[in-house]
Amino acid sequence: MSVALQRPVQIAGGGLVSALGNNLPRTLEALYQGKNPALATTVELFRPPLQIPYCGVSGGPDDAEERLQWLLDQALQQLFASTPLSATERRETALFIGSSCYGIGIGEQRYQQAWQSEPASAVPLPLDGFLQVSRHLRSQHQLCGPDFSFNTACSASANALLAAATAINSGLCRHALVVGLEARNDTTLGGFHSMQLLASNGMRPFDRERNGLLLGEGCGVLLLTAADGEPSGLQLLGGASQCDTYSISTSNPDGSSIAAVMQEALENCGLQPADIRGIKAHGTATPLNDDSEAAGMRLLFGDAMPPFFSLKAALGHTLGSCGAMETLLASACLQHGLLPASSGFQHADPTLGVVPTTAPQSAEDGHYLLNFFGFGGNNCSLVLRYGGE
Amino acid sequence: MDKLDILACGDYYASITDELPPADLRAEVNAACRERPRRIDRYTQLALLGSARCVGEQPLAPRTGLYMGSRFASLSNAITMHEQMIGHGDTPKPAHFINSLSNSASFYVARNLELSGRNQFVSRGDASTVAALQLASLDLLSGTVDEALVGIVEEAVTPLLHHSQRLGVEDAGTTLGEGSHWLRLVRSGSGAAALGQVDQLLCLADTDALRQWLHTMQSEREGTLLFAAPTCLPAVAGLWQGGWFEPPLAYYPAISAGALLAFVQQAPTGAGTLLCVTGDEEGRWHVVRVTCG
Repeated sequence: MSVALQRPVQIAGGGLVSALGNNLPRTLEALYQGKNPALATTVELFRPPLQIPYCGVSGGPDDAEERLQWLLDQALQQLFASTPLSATERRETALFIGSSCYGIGIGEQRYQQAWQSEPASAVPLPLDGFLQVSRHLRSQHQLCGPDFSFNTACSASANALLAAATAINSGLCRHALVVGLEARNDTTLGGFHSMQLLASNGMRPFDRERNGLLLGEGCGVLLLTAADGEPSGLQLLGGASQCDTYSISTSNPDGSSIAAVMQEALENCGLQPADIRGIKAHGTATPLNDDSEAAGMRLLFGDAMPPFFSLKAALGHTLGSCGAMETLLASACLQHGLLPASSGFQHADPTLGVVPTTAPQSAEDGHYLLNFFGFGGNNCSLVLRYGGE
Repeated sequence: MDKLDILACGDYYASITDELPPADLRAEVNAACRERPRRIDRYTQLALLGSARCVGEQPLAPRTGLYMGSRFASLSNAITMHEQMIGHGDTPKPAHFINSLSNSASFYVARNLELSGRNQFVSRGDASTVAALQLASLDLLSGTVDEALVGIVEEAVTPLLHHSQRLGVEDAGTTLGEGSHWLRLVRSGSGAAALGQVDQLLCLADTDALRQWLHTMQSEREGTLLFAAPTCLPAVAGLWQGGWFEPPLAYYPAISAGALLAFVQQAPTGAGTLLCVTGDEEGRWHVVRVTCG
C-alpha cells in the first residue's frame, strides 16, 4: 500500500551552536572557509588519560549541567531573536528532542563527585537523564507542550524532525520545536575510543585515507510551522526512517538498506531520484559507513549522481544532534545559494565509485536529500525543498 | 483522535526485593525468541521477552513500526559501565557501550521479529507510555505504518535503596518492580478482531485541565475506571468520583502500561473503559483512555 504524500512544513527559524562558531552565520562562514575546529583534548577520567582530538564548542561553563543548559540557551536565543513566539504559542509548542547524551555527562559528574567523597554510598546514574533537556526547556523557556525525547543513536534528531512534521500535519500542534543536542561527556569519548572508531589522521569522509571520525559538540534548534497557503522558502517535505537489522553497528555494506530508506523518502514526497539537486551525506569517514553509503547512493542514483557532501569533518560527528545541526547548516547553505565543498575530502577513493564536492558550487532551487544513519540500524533520510525567498 | 484497535498484547512483569533480585531471563528469552542473540544486556532481554509474548507466532504487517518507550532504558548495563569508568578508570567495553544506546534493545526486537520499518525509542519520564503511544498513533493515522508494535520497558536494579533514590520514591515501604508491556495496534476499521481500543491520548497542561477532562469522562460513559500511579495518586484522589482500577502491581515507571494491559487482558466485571493518568513534576498530566468490549 502506498502512503499519502506528506505535506511540507515550513522551517520557520533556527539557532545553532557548533565547534565552528557560536551562531549559524559564523558556522556557515567558517564552513565555506574550510576551517578545522578539532583541538587536542585530554580525558583525565581514564587511566591512562585519553589524548584525542575533539570538536568542542568554545566557551561556556565546565560544569556538565550548566554546559548542557548553556548550549540549549545559546541556540534558543538565536531562534527566538529571529522568530519570536508568544507566551501562548510557547506553551502549546510540542518538543521533539534528539540527543545521544541527554544527561549522561551530568550523571557521570555527580557519581564521580559522590564516589570521591564516599564510594560506598555513591549512586551511579543518580538522575533522570532523558528529562534533563525537556525539563530545562519547560522551566527556562516556558515550552510546555507534549515532549518527545528520541534516542535512536545518530539519527535521533533526524527522527525528531520527521515526527515533528507528522505531528504538525496531523494537527497535534501548529508549532514544533526540534532540538538536537550533544554535550561533551566521557562515556561517549571513551566508548568511541574503545570501539576504535576515532580517526588518527583527521576526519576525511569519502576520502581514500579515511580511517575514522572525530566527535563533536553542539546544539541545533529548528522551529517547524504548519505551511499556510502555498509554501515557500525552506520546507521539510518529509522523509523516511527504517531499521537495518544487518548489524547493530553498521549498515549492510551492499548499500541496499541505505538505498531503500532514500527511495522510501523520495516516494513519500512524490519524487524521483532525478528530482534531487544535491545530497547531504551522513559521511562519518569510518570505512564501513562510507562504503555502505556510497554503495546505496550508487544503487539509487546510478550514473546520475547529484552533488553530495558531508559536514562532519567541519562540525565533528555530533551523534544524535547531527540531524538538527546538519539540517540547519545545509539549509543555510541553500539559502546562501552555495553547496559547500565536502569537508575533509582530498583524495578520491576508486573503490567507492563516487566523489563528493571538492569546491563550493551553486545550489539551485529544488529538492535536497539529507542522510542520517545510526547504531542500532536506524537509518533516516529527509527531503528539504528550497524555493527561493 | 481516531481510534486505534488493540490486536494483541503480551508482557513480562515482576516485583523486586533485595532478597529476590531481578531474574536471569536468558532461558525464557531463548525459549520465546526466534533466534538467540549474543552479548545482549538484561534490558534487551526484557524487551525481547515482552515483545515475543505479544506477537507469538502471528504474522505482523509488512509495514509495521516499532515504538519503544522508557524512563531509564538500559540501567544495569549502564551502571556497570559507569562503575568501571568512575571506580576503576576503565574506558567502556564496546559491548557495554553499544548496549547503553537505548535503541539497541529495539534493534534486537526488530531483528527477532524481522521488522525493517520505522523503529523509534522515546522517553517522557513516567509518561513514556503516553509518548510512545502518541508516536505510534501519529504514524498509524498518517498512514506511515499499517501496524504498530508498542512496548514500554523498565528494568529494576539492586540495591533497591539506590534504585528508590533514582526513581524518586521516598516511601521505603513502596514495593518496586519491573516490566515489559507490549501492544499491537492498527487503525480502527481494518476489520481485524480487536481486544479493545485506544481512543484518547492527551498531554494536559495542569490539574484544572485534568479535572475538566475527568468530569467529561465520568459523565460520558458508565463503567469507567481510573488508574493512577502511586506517585501521583494523592493529587488525583479528590478529582474522581467513579471507580478505581487497582491491579496488583508494584511501582515502576511503566506501571501505567502494566495497568493498561491488565485491563485489556481481564477487565473487571461491568467495566468497559479505563483511564490511565500520569502526572509530572511540572504539573502536566498525561492521559490515555482504553475501551474494551
